[in-house]
Amino acid sequence: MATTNPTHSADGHGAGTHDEHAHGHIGRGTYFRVFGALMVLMILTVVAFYVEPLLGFNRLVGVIIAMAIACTKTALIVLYFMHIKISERITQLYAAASFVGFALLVIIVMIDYFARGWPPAPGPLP
Amino acid sequence: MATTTRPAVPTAQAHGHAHHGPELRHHFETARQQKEAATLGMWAFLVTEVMLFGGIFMAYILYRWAFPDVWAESAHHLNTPLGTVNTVVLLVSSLTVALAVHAAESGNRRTLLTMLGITLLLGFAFLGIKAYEYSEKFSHCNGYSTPLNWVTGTDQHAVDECLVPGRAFIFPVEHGAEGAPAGAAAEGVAHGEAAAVQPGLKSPYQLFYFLYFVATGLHAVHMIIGITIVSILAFLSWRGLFTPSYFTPVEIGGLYWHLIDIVWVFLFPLFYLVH
Repeated sequence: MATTNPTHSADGHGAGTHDEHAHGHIGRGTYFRVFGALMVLMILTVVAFYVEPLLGFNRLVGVIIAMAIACTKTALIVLYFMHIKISERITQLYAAASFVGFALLVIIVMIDYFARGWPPAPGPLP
Repeated sequence: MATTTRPAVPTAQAHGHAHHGPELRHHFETARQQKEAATLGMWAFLVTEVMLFGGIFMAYILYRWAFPDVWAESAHHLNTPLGTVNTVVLLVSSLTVALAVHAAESGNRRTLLTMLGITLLLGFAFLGIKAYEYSEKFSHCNGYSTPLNWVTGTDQHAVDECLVPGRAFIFPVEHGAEGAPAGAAAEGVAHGEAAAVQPGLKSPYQLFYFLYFVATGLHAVHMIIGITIVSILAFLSWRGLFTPSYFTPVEIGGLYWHLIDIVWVFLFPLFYLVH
């Protein structure tokens, strides 16, 4: 942990602003607004699910819409509820690293599978 | 670990706590530094949690990519309204946890206890609904149409459906179902009647339900751990342990709860909202 303090004082924050940043505060009003946004997004994703077949949307479009909404909800929870917005740089880095790590897992595995002929040819399922 | 890091009481008194509260361990310079260290440690753990669930999501992506029709048909048999209710329950619980941390920060013990209490209730509500969904699937396997019938032993009629992976697995094919697998087998099925194709271990539909039970099951295990953590936090705050200068356990316990919420935010559309 000793490493966080030197990096922080060296990244251009004055001593005074540094303290304010560290004691950054998220108010109750913000929590309620974020919750409202989460509920709206939740309703959107369910409505989209029932409406998409009526509009004749492609299956892939539906997946992209659902995942975009889920990622937005995650960003809201991580930034505000989990305080990443007002956290130390090193903590923000860890939070970002988890998603980068998962992205690497998916990208590398999928590249390997596609290189070996995935998805399998249509026909009777295995 | 706690015994090695906590200084013996006489030493602590000799050292003196004039400048800070007794909760500050002596290898930290300030209370803020101590809280940062704890938060960072929690995030390091949360990264491993993301990778744990990440493996399941990876398998999900791989197989849904290959068998989108199997996914679309299988997901119809999950209870989307109950899944939606559970999503709301978890989102509200995330708000109450955030408010609990806020209350701890401002030294409002009454609000802290109330919020932790509501969180516990919501956690149990989630698990109750999940348990009902599971028991619905298991009661079908045992020939009852609802869990209530199963418990009371009434109204047993053959339900040709068993969506719990295993030897007994039977996936019903509804009439007019498109993209039925194994053309020849599906052709032979009488029109208009739910009938079983490829029962047992050969059914391709098992893959979806296997991932469903593993992913939601692991999530439920996390919920049970989360409820335990929130109970402990409620007990500690009832004992008056937390002050505006020391509420790190509430903060990092809250981080765990939010992670569980995030996992459900993805599980819900990936299992209940598939077509």
